[in-house]
Amino acid sequence: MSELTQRPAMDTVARIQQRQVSAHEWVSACLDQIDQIEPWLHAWVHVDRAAALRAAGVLDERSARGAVLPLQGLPFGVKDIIDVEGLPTEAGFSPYRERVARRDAPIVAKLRALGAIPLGKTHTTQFAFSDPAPTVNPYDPDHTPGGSSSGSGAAVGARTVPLALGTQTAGSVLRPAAYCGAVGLKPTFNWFTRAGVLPLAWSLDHLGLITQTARDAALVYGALVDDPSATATQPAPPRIAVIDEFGERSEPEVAAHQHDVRARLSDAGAEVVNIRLPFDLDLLLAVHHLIMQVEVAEVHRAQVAEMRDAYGPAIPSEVDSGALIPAIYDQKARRLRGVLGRQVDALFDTYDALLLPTASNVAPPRVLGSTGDRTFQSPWSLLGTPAITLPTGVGAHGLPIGTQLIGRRGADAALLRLAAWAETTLGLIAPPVFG
Amino acid sequence: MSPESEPSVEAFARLLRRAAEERYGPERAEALAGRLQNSARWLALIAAAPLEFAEDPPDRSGLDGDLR
Repeated sequence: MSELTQRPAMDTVARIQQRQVSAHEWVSACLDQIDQIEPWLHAWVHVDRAAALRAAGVLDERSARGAVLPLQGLPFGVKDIIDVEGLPTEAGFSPYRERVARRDAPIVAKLRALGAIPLGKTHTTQFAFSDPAPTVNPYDPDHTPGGSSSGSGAAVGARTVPLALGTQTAGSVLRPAAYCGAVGLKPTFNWFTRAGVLPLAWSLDHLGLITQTARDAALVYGALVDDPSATATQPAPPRIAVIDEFGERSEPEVAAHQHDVRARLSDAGAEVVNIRLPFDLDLLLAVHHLIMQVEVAEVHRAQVAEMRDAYGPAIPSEVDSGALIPAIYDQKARRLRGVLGRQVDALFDTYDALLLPTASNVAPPRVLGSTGDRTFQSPWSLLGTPAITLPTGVGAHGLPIGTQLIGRRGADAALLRLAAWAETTLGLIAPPVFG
Repeated sequence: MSPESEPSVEAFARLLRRAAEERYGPERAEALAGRLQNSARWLALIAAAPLEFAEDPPDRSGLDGDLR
């Protein structure tokens, strides 16, 4: 195993920029790691080895002439609902197997322009909904990696790649990142165009980043949106509000870990208080789930009518159910979303971030057929607030536990600065050990 | 309509079940029972939530464009 796959991407990018390491070496190290682990991990749908090595060679040649890019040589994976030129966008749906993208999604094109190198496509649950992908958890293959960005979470958690793109409509970036011991960032809604990304629910879908560290997420986010403040230092210990409802709904080992995290942040100088949400959490969840059900039904209805048998069971059932929702209550849900969102916005007049476990549990056994509990992530997809998970703990059976931080809408860079401070304060868990 | 007069979970469940049977037939309606029960719970919570007349317009309902 190469040390290049184990170090934070930020360090390796800096070494490449100083010509201590080549892009070719970094890409090769990732490909070797994929060769060793992929036979049982099943994180990757396609690995375009030749194209990745060719791109690395071009970057190294330019580097020799003094041209260095902000993400020089950074290998990344792409969730298989996001277009990469020349590769199929299959979305876990067999009729799309030959659906080759003619151009990159803008986020992929932007990453390439910044010097990053796509290695290939990572597995997704079917159309980023809930029928599981074949991927397993890198910490324990009998457990789910989470979903829907299952391959992206597992690929980064297993250190086969330092960055993977994901999408989140309920909890599909943060939950797989947390279950796989990675960092997952879902910036503010519409932070980057979703062109070239298959939709699931128009008003809820977010692009997201999965990385090994919060600083790596800040490096990539800052480069993508040209905001160098994302990698700046947190100016002072933050004011953090722990939301009690989520701790109360957590499994005991997750609740105990959150208690420990709270104490360590406080010891480090943060002002940490416990609060309750200014509304009923179940109402917030109902609003999310209903809007999602209606939007998924609308997005997939025609295709389900045409190709029902090619789908797994989840989307056709969601379409059938969503088509029955009375429109007046869908509209009321959308009005309530605005009201509840403004109440959450007001919390940021007092606090820099909200804190809660990323999920109520550690990764459940795959035999249950679920990608885990979306309850703790979906509120922030509904409200469009930025959210990040840090891998801060390990449960009794060696599975990762994530800590989730929520920021003010539009203040992604501030959340990343705070997350980097928390990362230093809390430390991150060790990567998985393979037999 | 006051919140008190909004349908209960049970009333929404019956309404959805009836609609499913009419639209999809009894077999598919039965297969949807769990999802329809969830939808009924969500609908009842949303229906009962207080909201003043024209208090807030729909927010981010798909009209706002991408930023980049």
